[in-house]
Amino acid sequence: MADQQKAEVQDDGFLSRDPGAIALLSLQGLCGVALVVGVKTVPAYYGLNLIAHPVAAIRCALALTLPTVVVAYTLLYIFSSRPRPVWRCIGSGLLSLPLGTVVIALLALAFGAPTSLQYASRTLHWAFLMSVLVVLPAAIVLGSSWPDWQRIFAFTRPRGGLERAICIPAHGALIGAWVGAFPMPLDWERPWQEWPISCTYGAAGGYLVGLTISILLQFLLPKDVRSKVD
Amino acid sequence: MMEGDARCRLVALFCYILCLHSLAIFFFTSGFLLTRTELPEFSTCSDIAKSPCFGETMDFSGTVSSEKVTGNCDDIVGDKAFCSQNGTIPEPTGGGGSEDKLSKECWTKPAIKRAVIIIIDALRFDFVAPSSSFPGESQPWMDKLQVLQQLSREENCSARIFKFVADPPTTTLQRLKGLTTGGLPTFVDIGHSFGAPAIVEDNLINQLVRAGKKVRMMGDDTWMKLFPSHFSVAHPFDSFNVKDLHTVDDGVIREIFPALLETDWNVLIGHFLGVDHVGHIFGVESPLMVEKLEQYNRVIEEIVAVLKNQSGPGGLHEDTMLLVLGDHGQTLNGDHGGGTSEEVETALFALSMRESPGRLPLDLQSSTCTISTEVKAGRSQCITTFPQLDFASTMAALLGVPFPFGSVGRVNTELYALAASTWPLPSEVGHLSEALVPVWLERFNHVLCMNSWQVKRYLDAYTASSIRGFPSAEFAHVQSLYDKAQTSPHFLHTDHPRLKRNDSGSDLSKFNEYSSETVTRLIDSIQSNLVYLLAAADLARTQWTQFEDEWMVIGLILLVTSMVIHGVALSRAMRLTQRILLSEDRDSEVQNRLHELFPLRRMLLACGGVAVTAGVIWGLQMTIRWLKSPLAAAISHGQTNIIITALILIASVVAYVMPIYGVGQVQSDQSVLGRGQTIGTSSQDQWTCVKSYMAVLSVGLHACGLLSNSYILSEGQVVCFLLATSGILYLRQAIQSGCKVPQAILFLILNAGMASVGLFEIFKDPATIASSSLIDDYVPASYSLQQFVTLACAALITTVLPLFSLARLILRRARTILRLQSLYWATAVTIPLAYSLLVIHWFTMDLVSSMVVEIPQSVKEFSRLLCPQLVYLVSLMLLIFTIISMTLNARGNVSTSYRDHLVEGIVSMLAGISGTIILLLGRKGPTIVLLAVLEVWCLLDLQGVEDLNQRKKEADKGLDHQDEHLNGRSLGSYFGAAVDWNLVAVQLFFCTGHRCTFDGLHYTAAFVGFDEFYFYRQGALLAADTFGSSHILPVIGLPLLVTAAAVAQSNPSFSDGSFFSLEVAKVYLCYGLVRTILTAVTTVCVTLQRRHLMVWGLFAPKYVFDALGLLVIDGFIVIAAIFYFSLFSRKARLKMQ
Repeated sequence: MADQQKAEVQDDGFLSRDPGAIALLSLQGLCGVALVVGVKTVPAYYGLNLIAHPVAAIRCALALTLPTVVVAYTLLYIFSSRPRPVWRCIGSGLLSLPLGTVVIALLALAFGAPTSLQYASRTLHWAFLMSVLVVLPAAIVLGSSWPDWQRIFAFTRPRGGLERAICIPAHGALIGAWVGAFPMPLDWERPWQEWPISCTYGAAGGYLVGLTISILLQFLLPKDVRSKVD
Repeated sequence: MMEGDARCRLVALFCYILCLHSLAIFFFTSGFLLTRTELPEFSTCSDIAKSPCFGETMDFSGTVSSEKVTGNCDDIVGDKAFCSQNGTIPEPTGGGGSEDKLSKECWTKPAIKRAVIIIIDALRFDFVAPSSSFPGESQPWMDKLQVLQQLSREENCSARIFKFVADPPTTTLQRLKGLTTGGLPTFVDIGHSFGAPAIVEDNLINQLVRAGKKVRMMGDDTWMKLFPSHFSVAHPFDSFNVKDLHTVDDGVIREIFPALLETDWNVLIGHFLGVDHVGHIFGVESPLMVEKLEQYNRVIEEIVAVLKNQSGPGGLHEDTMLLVLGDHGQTLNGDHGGGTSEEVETALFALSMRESPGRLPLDLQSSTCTISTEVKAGRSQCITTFPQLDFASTMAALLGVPFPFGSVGRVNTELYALAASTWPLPSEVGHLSEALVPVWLERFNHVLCMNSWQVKRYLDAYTASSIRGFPSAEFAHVQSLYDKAQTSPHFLHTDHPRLKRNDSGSDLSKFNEYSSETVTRLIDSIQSNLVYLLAAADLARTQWTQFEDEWMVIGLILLVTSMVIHGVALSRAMRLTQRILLSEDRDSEVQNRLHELFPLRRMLLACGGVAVTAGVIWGLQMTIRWLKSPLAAAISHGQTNIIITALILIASVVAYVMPIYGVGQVQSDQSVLGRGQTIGTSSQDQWTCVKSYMAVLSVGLHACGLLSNSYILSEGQVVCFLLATSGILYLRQAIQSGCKVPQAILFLILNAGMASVGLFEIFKDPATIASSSLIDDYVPASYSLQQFVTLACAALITTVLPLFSLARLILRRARTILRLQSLYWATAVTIPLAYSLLVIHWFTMDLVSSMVVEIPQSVKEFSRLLCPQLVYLVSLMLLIFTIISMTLNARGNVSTSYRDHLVEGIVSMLAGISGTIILLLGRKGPTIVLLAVLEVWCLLDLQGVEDLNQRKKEADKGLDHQDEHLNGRSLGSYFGAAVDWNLVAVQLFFCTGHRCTFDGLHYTAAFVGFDEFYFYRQGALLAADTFGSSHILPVIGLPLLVTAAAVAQSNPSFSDGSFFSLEVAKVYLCYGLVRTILTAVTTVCVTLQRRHLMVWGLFAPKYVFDALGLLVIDGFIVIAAIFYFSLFSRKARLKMQ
């Protein structure tokens, strides 16, 4: 703990150049728009929808969200002038994707996702989308630094606007997916109660809420507090 | 001394909670699960003389002379012989004949001589009714009983289809009871399904036997349970085994055709079970259902053919009626028991062998027509509704026996008209077809008059004798309807003869007197009787299918107040802990607080005060009767005891909750509290907050889920989901502290494993294999070698491997945990023995069923019966040995700490019980128990992480290290742990294949190791299977949470016996609180949803399971508390020495 505090003091030099609120707004907003368009508009354009064709719709969403997130967070990373070369950021981000997919799919199974093979493709697609929303930004910005990952995902203590921009939407997506599972056992017999549709909606909703909160915080919090926020 | 006192008070507290819960559940249950007092009276032939239906003349009916009979014949026996009086019409039989009839027949004249009753279990209405009467497409299972539809279409006068509407609960036993008694069996009767539920009330079968008629039965053996000695000939077939589709049906078909040609019966009952069983196993939509229905179609066709052959004049079946009926319906999944229209609606088909000559007047016909189908040839086929309630009365009227005493049904107009003999013979009415209807109407009116009288007699008798009579306002209304109905026949009876006397010139003119005016009057009279009977049935239905709201409210209030008790006791225990830790002079300081833990004297005083006051008021009221208010009337109406009990209980609760101590004490209390709280808050970790919030949230979600039927149905998944959430929090916390991450991940994996293990069905239940009749159905005659090898491998992996690793795990841990040499060796010997016996038992059963190797009978019997019995014996011996050696042998090594001693006891007890539990759980048992043991180990191990984190954090903050151990574990962390523990317990309940329904009980488990049925022994085994793994084991193992925390804290206070028992009590209180919250929510939900369609199918069983589970848990908490606390006291005394 003491080490971490020391690190914080050291980091302050780097963190003084937080990504500007405007940059955060535009880039994160871009991610949100990409997700909404990817889940809703593009499939509709091709005559698909998430309820009837979950796999195809998630593919559309991925095709749009993945590049947007990569570009947005890499740009954010560049703005905050971190010391790693860009290609390593993108490289580690892309490397993290399959790993994150597997971990999230396993987590879904632990929460009771259907284990039968006919759902395997859906589960993997959903996990891939989740991993793009949750793991990819963190991997781009944090690289493979275990203490940072631990601080953000175990302690929930982001430092600075950039880490908040990773942490809050990621938690939002996870909690949203968790809440999205609630209506699944109900006997309303609606098609959207199928796994993983309601969870996808929940995750998207939670992600958008998280984005909004992180952007708002960037506007609202005074500059000097930003770097010390726990 | 003080420590002993503390423990006594703690045990007394648990006893008090148990008592409170049992009374709460008693109150709620008696308001919710409706009960009905069964009256022992029987109807007899001579009873009817007391009815007003015969006027005054019936007083001498027994000894009437021929003249008097003829003189009053029209009045007396309007429906019997309809003897034409005044000597105008020649009587073929003469006076003697009519007297003979009077003595032979009682109540009504038999309209049919014989009845063939074919009962098809779980016959849906749409199996019988034409598919055109249902909207939408014709389903595959419709129109398969063509013969019934054809008969009802072609022979419109002698065959009819009715929509037969049952009352819930729609289980076979209850329905048979309802069909034969004409009453409304209540839900409580379901509890008797496991025992022998012979009907004690008056019923149709009993009346038939009394009247000297012979009843033959074949089919479902439920009949034999209900009527053990009534049938002249019975061919019962086992209905126990749901997977057996054909035995019962084949048996009935084999027996019924010879029986049809015999003469020595009056009523023949054939009960087919196939449809019910197909529904239960495969569902209605399966092709097997169609096959079954087609089979029945053929059988009924043949039966009709046989009957028709013999139905000529003078033939065997001239006056026979064929009835094909269902006892209840079923849903598309084959479930029944509830009150949905699918389950309630079944069909009744009636075929009279002789065509009745007349038609009902349209007034009576149209009022009952509910579904008109297919206008064919200008004639619409009309299907009317026939409540099952009416079956007993109608059949009694048709067969000419007294109506069962407790019947509240009415004689069905259409079915009564269907029997040809209820109509006057053409010769009697002088071939005047227009006279048929009035004569019939008069007869029917007379029957209804008797019916009304009998129902009124029953209602009066019931009001007089039962504890809870009918609500007075409604009862008075129904009585007024009766009076109204009774005035009209008197009018008729007094008026009619006068009319006749005036114009008795010729028979022709006599029949002409049945003018349209008379017919209208008769119809009016019939209608008013029907209205009365309908109102009476509705009254009975509201009484026996409606709830006693006040009792439910009392029960709910008690349950909620018990939650308050839990909370207050917990907070007092927390304060007491702090007090013990903070004060140097423990003995004197703590003494006062101890009283607060369970202030027996104060509570006794309060209870006594209330009791005395109530007694005085009651006594005054009894002696002086000065309280004439309605309240006093309600109180004095036999409910005094209950109200006083409730008052006393509430007084005790209030006395417990209200602290009454001096000002000084309060101040000192607050100062200490303040000190304690500062430490408490300072040492309270952020994580503990998150965890305890999550625990509250998790209980809240779980509880909210219980309000919806869908979440109750999928409670297993809900619990898995919540446990996974909890596991994520543990993982997060383990990552924070950087240790025990593997345990957290393993916990998540095991959780998923537990959830999915319930889905796989690798092996059949051993008990189903054990009953040898099944083998033909379910196991192919012999396996090929390859199959056999695969199966053997599967058996090795699923049975031997888990058992072996479990035994290894227990023995390895036992070496370090069990310090007592004797205990260690006892465990080391018995566990492998018990497990190897299990393996022998299962493998022999497998070999027997696979028929690869011929097994000698003696070996088979040994492994089938003796092995399980040995396992039970070994478990019991180890358990007793543990208890004895734990309580006696503690002096062997005083140096062991309380913690080790406690762990020793718990582990060896759990190990002892494990053999029995695994055996009862069946083939999945070993896997599930292994997974559960590992999961619990992870959970316990993770408990320590929190304290590790806490200490780390405090070190960071630079807090005084000394202060830290002064605080026991915070309330939040205990609550969190208890919530997780409860989730694991509930998960165990579901993953061991249990469901909260009565047909989800593992009846087969009751017969593992035994063939004969003894109620208590088999009941105990069933209870051990149902509650063992999910209620009893968790309660026994719960103190492990304390010991796990003790390891992590290495707290010096834990060497103090009193402190330790307080901690154990806190854990038990937390666990009890969680269970009480869930049960209270279930109860609230049942109260809210008591009008829900699924109340009997889903909510009521859930409530029964939860309430029983709560009582089991409370009871075992008391037992475990006594045992564990006695361990501490023994140790303390030894130490003092």
